[in-house]
Amino acid sequence: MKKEQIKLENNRGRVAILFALIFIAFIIFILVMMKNALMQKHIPSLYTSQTTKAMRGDILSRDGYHLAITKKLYKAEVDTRCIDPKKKRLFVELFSIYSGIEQSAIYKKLSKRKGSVVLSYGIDPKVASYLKSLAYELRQKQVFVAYESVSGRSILKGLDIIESGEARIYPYGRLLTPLIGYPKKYEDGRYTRNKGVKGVEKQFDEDLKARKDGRSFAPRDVNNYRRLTKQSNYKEALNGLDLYLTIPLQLQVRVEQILDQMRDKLRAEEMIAVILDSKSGRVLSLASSSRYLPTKIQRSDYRALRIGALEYSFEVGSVLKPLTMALLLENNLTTPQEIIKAHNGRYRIGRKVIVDEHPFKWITSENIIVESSNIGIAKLAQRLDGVRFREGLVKFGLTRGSGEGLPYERVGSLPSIKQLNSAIYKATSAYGYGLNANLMQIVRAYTTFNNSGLMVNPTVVDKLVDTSSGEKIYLDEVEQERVLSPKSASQIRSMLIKTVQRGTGVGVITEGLEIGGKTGTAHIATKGKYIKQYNSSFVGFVNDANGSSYTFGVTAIKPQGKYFASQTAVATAKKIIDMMVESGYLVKSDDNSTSNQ
Amino acid sequence: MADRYLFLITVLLIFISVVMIYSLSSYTVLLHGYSSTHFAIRQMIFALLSILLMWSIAKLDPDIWLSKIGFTLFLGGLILMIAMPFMPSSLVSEVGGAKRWIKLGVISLAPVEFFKVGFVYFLAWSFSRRIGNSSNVALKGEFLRFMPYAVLFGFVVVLIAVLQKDLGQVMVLAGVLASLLAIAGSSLIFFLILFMAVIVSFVGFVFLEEHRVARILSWWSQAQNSLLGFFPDSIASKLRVASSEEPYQIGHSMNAIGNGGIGGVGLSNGTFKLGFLSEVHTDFVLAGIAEELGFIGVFMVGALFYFLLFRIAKIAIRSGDSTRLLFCVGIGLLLAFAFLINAFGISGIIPIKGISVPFLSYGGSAMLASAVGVGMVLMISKKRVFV
Repeated sequence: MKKEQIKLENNRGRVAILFALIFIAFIIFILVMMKNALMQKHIPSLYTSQTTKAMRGDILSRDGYHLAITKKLYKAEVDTRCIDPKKKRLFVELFSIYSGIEQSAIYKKLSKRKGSVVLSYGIDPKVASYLKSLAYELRQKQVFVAYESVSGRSILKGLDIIESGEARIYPYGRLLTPLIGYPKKYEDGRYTRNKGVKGVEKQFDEDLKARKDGRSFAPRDVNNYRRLTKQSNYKEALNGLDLYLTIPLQLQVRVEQILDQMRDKLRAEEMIAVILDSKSGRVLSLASSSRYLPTKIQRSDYRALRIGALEYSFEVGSVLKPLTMALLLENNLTTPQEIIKAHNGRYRIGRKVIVDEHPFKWITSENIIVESSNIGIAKLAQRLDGVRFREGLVKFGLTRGSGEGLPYERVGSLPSIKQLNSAIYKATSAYGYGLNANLMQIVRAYTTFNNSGLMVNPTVVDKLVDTSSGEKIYLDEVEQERVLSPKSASQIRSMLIKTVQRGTGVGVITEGLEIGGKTGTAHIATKGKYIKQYNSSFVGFVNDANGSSYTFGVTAIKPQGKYFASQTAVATAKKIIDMMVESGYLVKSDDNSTSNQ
Repeated sequence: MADRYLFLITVLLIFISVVMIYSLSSYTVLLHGYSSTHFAIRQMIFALLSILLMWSIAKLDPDIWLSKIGFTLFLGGLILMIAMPFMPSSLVSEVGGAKRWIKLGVISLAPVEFFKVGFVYFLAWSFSRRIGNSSNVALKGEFLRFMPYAVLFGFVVVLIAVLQKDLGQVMVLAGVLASLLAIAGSSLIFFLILFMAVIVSFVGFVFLEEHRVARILSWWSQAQNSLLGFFPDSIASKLRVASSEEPYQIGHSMNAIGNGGIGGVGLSNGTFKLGFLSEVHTDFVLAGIAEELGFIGVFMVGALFYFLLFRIAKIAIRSGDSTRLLFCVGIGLLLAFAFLINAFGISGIIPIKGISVPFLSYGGSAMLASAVGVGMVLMISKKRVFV
């Protein structure tokens, strides 16, 4: 029994020593852990930050068609050193299926060099999302292995699908060019963006352009996936604003078709047309027969790049006569019924002989417009002094652009006050020679006649929409300017209606609609000499009984053969009006009171 | 009355385990498409079973039950491990060519965990009879006396290290065997010879399997940067090995500890559990605790664990019977070695070894078996002598 007791005592001593040793081992562990916890060591980033590139806004027609859109493009990048050689075939086969790229092409790219290789550029968003899920699958299947960098760090990279840039796309091709304009690519870091260099794309570049890239910052897992925690922070990309035009695509298409037909028929260099809402100035159509593909501009398109209605400034000819007449009426220098001697079609002012197409002995002021008498208007214009003549034309907007709502304009030029004090200048300016304007300026001036003397501010922009907040932004409305008294406006208006009823505009008569307008056929001057080329215009208005009221202008640039406005621009206007009736923009009335008949 | 502290500490560790498993498995459940409580709920069921089992065993009379339970576990575990390689795969789950689990309905049990407790009992029972005071026995006699155990242990090594490919368990058992031998009364020289033999055979086993070599190399590739600084460049460059894929694990374990710092990033806020540490809820549970609860958390867990060992040692010393003393010490060592091998592994002190932390790591068999072991110690604690 005593021996047993000694043995136990002995055992107890050894147990104490053993557990003391274990205690020391625990202390070592605790100390090492403390050192590890306190030591500054290079810990891999615990967060992932990603940027989502903001995109340029879309351009939409009034009826909601996307005329210009932005598509994000992606590239697929992989590090050849990270593909497990045993699983390379699997990688290539799957990538080929997901991307639609031939296997041989992928092998070729992979063997081109060691390291990061871009397998494909310009991947569209749909395929990119497929490839992203492929990247996840490949990670799951452990296709990727780590390799050691020069500095000894082990690096593991998978298949990366990266935003590489954006493409501007015009789903309707040539439609609405040249007004819509075109973009140019530029590099923003390693990302390709677009900016407008012409047309609506340029004028509203500030609104359309991407505002702020989206950013996300969040704790991550091993796959770099974001975790939603208190620390995660997500800011959505602020895309550019979407721009809604005032122009309905369905109408624009038809106007362009008509202009194309007429260009071919008249063998004109270009046909241009403008339709405005007489009361609001909203542009319903701004069209040209010369159009181009915004994404594929060729040398032959260079002429078409300019927006004819805004940038082609020309001697407008007789369409200016109603403006001169309006100034005379406004200044009480004539009345519609005043009778003027018309000199049987030939009249000399200084060295200049003025000729009328239809000779008259006597003519009323009203008929000067209806019959388009050069002599009549030239003689009446002598009553205006230079200051009032010029200021009047300035008031009609011939020296200034059409405002914020339209892209770049070439505004034309007027003779100086001094020139307008001379009899010859007064005479030629009165019927639209020696001064330049673009079609939009003339059409805008004509809105006064159909809008009780007020002149509208044309605009192609209906609204801007912030897609992220849904907020709608309307351009500041500019107050309409009073150019004429309602009385003078109404007098001119009735003269223009009569011009259509029995003058040069008869070709446009449409039963059930009230139409007024004035033709103009202007010689083109090249290097100071008039050549045998003409610009033929017809500018006027059309109203229906439902209150729709449009002011329009059509110009045929250098038609060959037939060149009188009545045969060219009037015929085009007639087709457009018929089309508008067909499309429901104008409703014919049975009541003849407003009719031209 | 059973040792209340030991029981409470064990329950507390089990409770910590369930909470941490729930937090640490958050990525793994997503990866495999499990529900978020997949691991936590299983661990909780085993936790409750373990506590219940421990409580029930503690209530039994050691004079009657200790040897019955001890031999049942020893012989039962041995028979099951021998039979396992011959069982159909419908009964045995095989992972990576190693048959470690027997399927029992919805749960699987690893016989080796229960066998360890039984083995400790067998050693305690046998040593207390055969190995006494060595002062009158020559070294040769000691060898002869040890031979039967060496043969038995060799057999166990074949069963566990070779057939189940689980070298970690064998290392723990070898450590327990050597330590119990020392306590039971072998001479210091014999103990040292045995200790050398263990080291040599361990190295031999390492080179038997390629993945074990890789593991050592990977540990070295991590440790070399700090150690090679003491050598001249010419020698250092020869010793330097290129890092292989594995330091990934130990590297992220260190990252987790570093990220946790003193106070931790907060429960459930850890980053390195999210796919970086692939076995964070089993072998790297301490690294996971270090990240989320910080050094303070690890210190608390370490202190609790050592307190648990301390209580076991106290019970051992007070048991007044050399079988019970050796058994209690053996159970304490089983827990201590497993904890230390894991703890030293995740902190980069020794090469990483796939061994779980008793009571903390995910795994039902290990927890149940440890609870049985502690339950038996509690049973013993009721009969103490005051010294």
